[in-house]
Amino acid sequence: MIKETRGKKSKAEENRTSIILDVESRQLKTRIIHGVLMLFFILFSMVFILPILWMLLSGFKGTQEFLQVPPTLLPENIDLSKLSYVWGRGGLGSSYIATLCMVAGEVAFGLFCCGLGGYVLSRLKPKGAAAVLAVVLWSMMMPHNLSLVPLFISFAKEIPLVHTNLMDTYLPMWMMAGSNAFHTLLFKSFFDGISRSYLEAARIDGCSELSIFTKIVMPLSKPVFISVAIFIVTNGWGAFLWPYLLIKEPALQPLGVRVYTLQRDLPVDEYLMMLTFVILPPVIFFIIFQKYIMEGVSLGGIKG
Amino acid sequence: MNNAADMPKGRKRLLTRIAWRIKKDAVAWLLLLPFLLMIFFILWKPTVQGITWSLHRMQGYNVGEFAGLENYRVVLGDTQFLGTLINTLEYVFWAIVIGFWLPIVVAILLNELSLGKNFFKFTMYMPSMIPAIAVSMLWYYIFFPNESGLLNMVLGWFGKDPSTWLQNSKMTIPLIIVSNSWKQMGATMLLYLAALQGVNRDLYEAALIDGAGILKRAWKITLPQISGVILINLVRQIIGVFQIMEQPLAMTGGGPNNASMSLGLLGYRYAFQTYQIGSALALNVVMFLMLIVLTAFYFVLQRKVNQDD
Repeated sequence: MIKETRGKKSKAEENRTSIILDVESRQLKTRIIHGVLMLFFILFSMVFILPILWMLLSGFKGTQEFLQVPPTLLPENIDLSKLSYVWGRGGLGSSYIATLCMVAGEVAFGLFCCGLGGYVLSRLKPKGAAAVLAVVLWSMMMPHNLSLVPLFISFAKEIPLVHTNLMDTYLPMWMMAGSNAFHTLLFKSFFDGISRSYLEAARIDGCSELSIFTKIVMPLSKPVFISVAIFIVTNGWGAFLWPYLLIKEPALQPLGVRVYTLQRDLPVDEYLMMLTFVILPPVIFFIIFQKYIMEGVSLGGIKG
Repeated sequence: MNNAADMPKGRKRLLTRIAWRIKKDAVAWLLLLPFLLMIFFILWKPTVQGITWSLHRMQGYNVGEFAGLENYRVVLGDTQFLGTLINTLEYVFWAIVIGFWLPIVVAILLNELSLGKNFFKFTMYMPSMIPAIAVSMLWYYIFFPNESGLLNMVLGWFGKDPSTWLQNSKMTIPLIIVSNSWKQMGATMLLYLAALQGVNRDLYEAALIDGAGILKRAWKITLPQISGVILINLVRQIIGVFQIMEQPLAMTGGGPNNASMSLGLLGYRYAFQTYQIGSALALNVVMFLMLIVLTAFYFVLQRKVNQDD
């Protein structure tokens, strides 16, 4: 952020926080250090790229080829028809749709519940809001491990009147997205920064609170909505534990569950290709939204 | 004269004001309701239930009669408990040895680069985007015990014999932590990188005038300046790793011979594999109490560090 405001200045000035100072930048010692660092980072980033690349390439190998000694680095021949074969065999079509439904609902619940919650706590502040804020802070502090079993029981039990339980539905995951106290606080601190005069003007014009929220606050707060939506999508895409516990119908299982269950059913090479299918969307998502995502991480770390 | 006539008018205005205020509060509470319902059903109700049910005899998923500390006696008396607790601490230990200092060093080094900074940030953060379960499975195959696993393949190039990796009970916990750190490194590094942007450069200049070398500046200025963030992250990482469950579940199932069993996974096993619900609840309460202490410490730290800024 600091760097951005100074973005237009010269390159030497741009790096305002390095330990090596500008006066030293022409020394031989500094040049050597920079060279060594560059080399180090090229090698070190291999540690992060190589496994992903290996997975990508291994998927195209045959099972025989994968297991042969000595192993091959590149697949002998790249057969693109294997892509559609693995796609069909892993049932990835239905799984992608399932994942999209689950994540879309999570985004809707998350933005609706936490967004409104943050708005009320930031702007409307009814009597008792301070107590609610304390509860929200406590919710953030509370370890989640203890709720696992009771929550599972309440999802597995029949609900009176409706005579059905929440197994094989995405509602539990949606509700969990709606209960994220950290997101509510993110919303709150963003709304705190919106000028009061906008809201007063709308109130004088006779807008209802809900329409003030949808017509004025939301358009002004695009960044925080996008950030939270990105958080929810990246966390929800590969969600494993709860979908695994709750969704037993194979056609409804999202990708995170498939990753776990298909390991028994697919040969190694096909399994790695399937993993590629699972990993690719978040990676593309990251390439598109990288600025938002990386800023969001620092935001979450400092405030959270 | 006029005053007497105004009184009812003023009172009326006051009344409409109060009515307006009540209406406004009612609307506000209504808008808050969805979120409150969610945290009640997802967070508070199950946590309270967990504590009370742990004091009861559980028959399957049904709550039986009050049993006092019986569940706790069973869990703590289980021969597995102590070993699992030690394993969990071992996870924490290795997370500190492997995953704690690396992002700090990498962030400081990366901050020195003027070229390619964004590219390296991008590559190192990439694994954080991959779902945890997929990372675990990918690393399961990287640690594949025969020569087709990536790690054995690389070792093979240097003429080394393949190792059994995860199947080796001495290595299984550090290796699970390696895979976990691989995923977390980028995100943690970004936090430190953000903290480094707040270090005042005048300090370095003053140190340079005093003749301090680059390493000395890093040690005496950079680290103390970001020590608050470092401490917060340390506690945060400990809290996270203490609850580790999915990774051993996916990579080893707790094996070989319970060598990678964690408290979280033991709770999972009680609840969903052996159906000892009472034990699962009691174990989770025990974990909960330990975590509460850590988390309270974390928040106190955080408040203190934020105040210093």
